[in-house]
Amino acid sequence: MAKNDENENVVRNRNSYFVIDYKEEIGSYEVELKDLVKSSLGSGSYTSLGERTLSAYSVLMSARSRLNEKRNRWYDELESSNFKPEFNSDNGVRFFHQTSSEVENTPSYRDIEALAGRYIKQAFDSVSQQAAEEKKVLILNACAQLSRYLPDFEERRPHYFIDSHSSKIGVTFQGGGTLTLLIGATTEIEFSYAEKQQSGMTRVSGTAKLTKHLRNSKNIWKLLQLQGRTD
Amino acid sequence: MKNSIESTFVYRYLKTNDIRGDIQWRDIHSDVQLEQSTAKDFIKEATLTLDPGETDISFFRSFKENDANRILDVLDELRHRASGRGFSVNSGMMKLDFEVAHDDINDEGELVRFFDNDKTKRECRHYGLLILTKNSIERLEVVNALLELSNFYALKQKSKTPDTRDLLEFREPGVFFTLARDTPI
Repeated sequence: MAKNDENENVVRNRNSYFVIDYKEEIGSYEVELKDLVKSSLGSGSYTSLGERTLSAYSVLMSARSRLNEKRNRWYDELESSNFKPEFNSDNGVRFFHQTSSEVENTPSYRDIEALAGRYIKQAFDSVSQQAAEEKKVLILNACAQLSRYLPDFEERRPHYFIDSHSSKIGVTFQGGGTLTLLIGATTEIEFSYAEKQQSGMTRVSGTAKLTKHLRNSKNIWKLLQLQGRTD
Repeated sequence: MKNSIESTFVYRYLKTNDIRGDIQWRDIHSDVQLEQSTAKDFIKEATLTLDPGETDISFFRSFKENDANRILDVLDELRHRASGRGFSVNSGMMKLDFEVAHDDINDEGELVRFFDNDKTKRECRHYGLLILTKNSIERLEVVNALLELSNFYALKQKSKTPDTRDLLEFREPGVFFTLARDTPI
């Protein structure tokens, strides 16, 4: 759908909360937009609602567009020959042969490099050569899988860790419940979300398969949405 | 021993290197007080592990009246049992209501077990936590639930004489997962 058509659609359908029609990512922005529309309905005139809706819509589109562009640039980077997570005992883990501007714009990969590097070094110090090699391969592949989601993770506050049972990389998000994802050498993601209620603890858990196709990685937002707003 | 609801809190000691980052310590004078910390990303490194010889995640249960006293009570107990290794008071404590955790996490089947495995007769007692499931998603679920149910505190020594510490609550404990990582299952 062309951009102009989308705008017209908004105006025509303002009573039906157009936000619901947009099934793409953006997460908290959608929630903010809904809140804005609701508050306008409660206090403002119809005209005011239209203006505020369009203004909010423009913020939403701009944020969505920025994230999409960032993702696409990042995916291009991952598809290039520059990206190949490797380990050597001197430098630890390195994801990229060269540091491009896009790589600089996604700095959190360095946290993963450091974490994976420590884990692999520790493996070579503590288990047999063969077992350490196996762990190394698993972790480097997990790094490659995890990298797919970094633009989306960076929108929030991720805490990374390595699950030594499975040699997978985990990431925990807190605030509005606790969400943990476990990412290994395959495209499968295990996830669990817990939120304390007044009585009891709700949990939503399972596996996600976002396929080997890199451009499908953006669907990670569907898991992140389990947490809802983070601020 | 008391049987009040309060007495079901158990505490786990967090080592100094589990807690990093810039902390906006409140300027508190001589008394131990409970304050809200504004620090973010309080724990940055995944360094919580089982001590050698431990078969379960170790908590202490104290029967003192309020949180500050309970936490200090647990620290005293740890010092008592430290067998020369000692501990730093510039560190932290995790607080968990084990009855709530037991009920909330085991509502569909037994996934965690808390037990008093203390051989001594001291009032501050050692409690173990075992995660029983081998299923990785269930383990994620258990640890997330423990994170949701716990409160985390930092301790900072204000003076050695008299021995005085600040007690601050903080948010986003972050990487508590690794505490359960090496739990025997």
